[in-house]
Amino acid sequence: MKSYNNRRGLTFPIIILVLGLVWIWSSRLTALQPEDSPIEAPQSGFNLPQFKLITASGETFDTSFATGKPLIINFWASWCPPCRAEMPDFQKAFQEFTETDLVIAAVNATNQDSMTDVLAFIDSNQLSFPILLDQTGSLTRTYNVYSLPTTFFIDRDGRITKVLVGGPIPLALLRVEINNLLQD
Amino acid sequence: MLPVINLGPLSLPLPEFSLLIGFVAGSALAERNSKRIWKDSAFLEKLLWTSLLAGLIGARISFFVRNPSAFSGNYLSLISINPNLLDLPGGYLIAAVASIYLISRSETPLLIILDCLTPFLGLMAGAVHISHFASGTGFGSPTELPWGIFLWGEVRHPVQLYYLLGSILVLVLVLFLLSKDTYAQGFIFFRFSLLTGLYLLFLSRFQENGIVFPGGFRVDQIFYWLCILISLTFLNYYLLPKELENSHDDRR
Repeated sequence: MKSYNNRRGLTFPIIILVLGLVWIWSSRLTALQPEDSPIEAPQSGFNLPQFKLITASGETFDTSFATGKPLIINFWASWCPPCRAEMPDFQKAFQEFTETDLVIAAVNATNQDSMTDVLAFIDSNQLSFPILLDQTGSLTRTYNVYSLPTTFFIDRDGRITKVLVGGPIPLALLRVEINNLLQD
Repeated sequence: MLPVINLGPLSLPLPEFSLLIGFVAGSALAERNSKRIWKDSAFLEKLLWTSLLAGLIGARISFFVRNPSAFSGNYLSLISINPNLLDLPGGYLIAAVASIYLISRSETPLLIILDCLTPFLGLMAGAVHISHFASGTGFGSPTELPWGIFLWGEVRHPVQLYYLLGSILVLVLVLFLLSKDTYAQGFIFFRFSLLTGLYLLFLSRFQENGIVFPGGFRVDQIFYWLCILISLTFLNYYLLPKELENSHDDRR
């Protein structure tokens, strides 16, 4: 039978627990609040990387226009089935929240799409929010868009609150996320 | 990071895919290793899959209950496969209730079930770390070490990989212990939770984001410390003092 030494049994656990508390105490010196970071990065918790792009109607869209406003940026292409499936819901959401200061911008990966198809899709779905044209693919790279669609939700402080990779995003989810942005 | 794997026309979301693989492999591993110590090991697979299903359904229902107006005129979204329409806390709660109900109806002691579930928990921990690495979440703090990775504007600790290494080491140890003949009921589980708490507590220092209490104390580190405390308490006061006996006769 294996005997058990109570005194020795207490020492080791106590040492572990005390060292753990010391580690927690020392770690607090390096704890960094995400909100303090001024870095622009396409990830939840970071500031939105700023950009300017030409829209399908020939205007210039600048993210600085959306300063102080909740913003949704959706990356899409006309050949992408889930993008095509969710775009009508984006249009519905845009119309439902038209009385608010919500800004929706859809960035078309034009470098891998056909302008004819893009314009036809805009027309057939009667999209009334800005459709931006990423003709060189640089914005898609900046935002680390590996798959289409990818959607970024940005709060009034210009901070990305959520990134949704893939789709289609149901209208119910859009409503929830938009309400979250408007409440901030 | 690698959020998707493009296989021809298919785009597989790697974070969710790794969790699915972890679940399937973990449940198979747990059932295989539990056969030596528990004759009703098929119950394990039933427990895991029932809890998963209950959790998913519960998470969807919970999301609806919390946001009923969002589904107005769009009730088809209730059956959408989009995983973002899940309320995770609600899902965890329903899964826990389902698990407790099934376990209460089983005649097997809870500590044996926990021991048998340990390989599953170990493998799922690794899958979670892979999922975080793939999605770029749970990222590390800035560093100048040569093995730092450039992520989100800075060179950072690859803390998700640190965690993955920790989980692999703990899983190997758990499988080794499970291959031994003699240990007290619950010993495997609480040894696993102790070691997991230790590596998480140590490595979380190198993780940047997270919730902090006033004063800068990390919430996750305090939680891990409490897990260590509970594990040590059970190991020292209830398990180790017992005479180590051949548990085969007791379990079967």
